[in-house]
Amino acid sequence: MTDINLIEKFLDGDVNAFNTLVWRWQKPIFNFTLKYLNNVDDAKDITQRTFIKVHSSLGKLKEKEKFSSWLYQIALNQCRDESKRKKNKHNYSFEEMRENIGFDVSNERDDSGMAEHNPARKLHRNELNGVLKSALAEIPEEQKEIVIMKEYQGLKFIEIAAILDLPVNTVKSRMYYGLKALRKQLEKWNIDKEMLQYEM
Amino acid sequence: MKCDNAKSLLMDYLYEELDARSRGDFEQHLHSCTECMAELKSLQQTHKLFSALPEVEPEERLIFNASPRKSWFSEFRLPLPQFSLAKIGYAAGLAIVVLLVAGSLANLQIKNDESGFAVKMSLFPQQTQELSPEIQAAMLAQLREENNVILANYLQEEKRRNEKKLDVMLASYSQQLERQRRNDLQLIGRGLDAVRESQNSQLMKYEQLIKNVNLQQK
Ligand SMILES: [Zn+2]
Repeated sequence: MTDINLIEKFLDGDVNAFNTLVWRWQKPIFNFTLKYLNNVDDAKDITQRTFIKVHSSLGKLKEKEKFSSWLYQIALNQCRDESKRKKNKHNYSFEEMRENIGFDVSNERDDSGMAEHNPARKLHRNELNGVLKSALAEIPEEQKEIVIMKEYQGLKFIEIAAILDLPVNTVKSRMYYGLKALRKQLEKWNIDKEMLQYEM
Repeated sequence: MKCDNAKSLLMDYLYEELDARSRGDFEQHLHSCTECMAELKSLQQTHKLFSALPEVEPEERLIFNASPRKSWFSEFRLPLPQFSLAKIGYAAGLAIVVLLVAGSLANLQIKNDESGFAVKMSLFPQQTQELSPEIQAAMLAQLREENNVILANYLQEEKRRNEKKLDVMLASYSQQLERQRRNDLQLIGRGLDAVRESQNSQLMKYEQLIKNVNLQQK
């Protein structure tokens, strides 16, 4: 059954149709908000708020075929508000980032308890994930939201343009600068290619 | 193809959104231009690195239990049909959050996961300020009453579903009730003293309900 069928059934009073819709979209929206806000509790909260909003205003959506763009718009606006509300954005230094994700490259200790300087060691998978998430949090919001939609939601540029109400070339150019900014951020933290050959 | 043209196709190429012809042209340019090739390599590495961040499974499943276009009042005056949870199977370890949306005024959450059974209810303050305390009290009482029906159905369903799990669940549910009572009192705050009384009596009913289920089980 398509989203449009489900929306129509819901508007006819079938709450289970709405729950099917939620079941279908909860995971993508949760992952979107999680990558945007980099905090599980906030992501849960925003996902819930997004669907409550959808529940109460779905009747007002004129073009039902634009449901998914509309849904992303709601989630995005909630994320932007939340992010503004927190205003905790600041540039992490390498030290802070390390502390934040709990990884330590400069003070590896060997079995004898001696501190060993080994900056070029490989990152473990979960350390790498922490580094990537931290880097994502550092780039400008307007690039970040597009990177998330492209890399993790698998949306086409034209779909992202519709969600953001921007020309498609603007979307592509922000994506380009977003990727560059991410790379720059890793370089700033001295995370080089060798470290990125992580162990799976 | 010139470098400028090629650059404008970089993103499309990277994310495979080029048609076959433009793709051919672009690749031809790449073979003859080290600059564009280097740029593409660099972008590809970043793309590959970041795309590997895993997708996360939500820990809880949201379930709505109210139809659209019905006011809270008509919705809550109706006997609740069949509790929707009964029809929905769920994966182990996945919690369920039931959102009982009543004109977006009240938001009841029923949660069930490995750690047990939890009930949370909150009022949205910006909405309630427009209503008189009497109406608020009446609404809350009504909501509470209906919640009992839901809880009873839910517990019955769970009992059938898993006899052994129920004891554990009820134990944590009782704890949750106590916590809930304190939370609700704080939430409701000023101007709603009348609600507190009805709330306490409702909570006693909840506790009675739990005892009954317990007895039935033994
Ligand atoms: Zn070139």
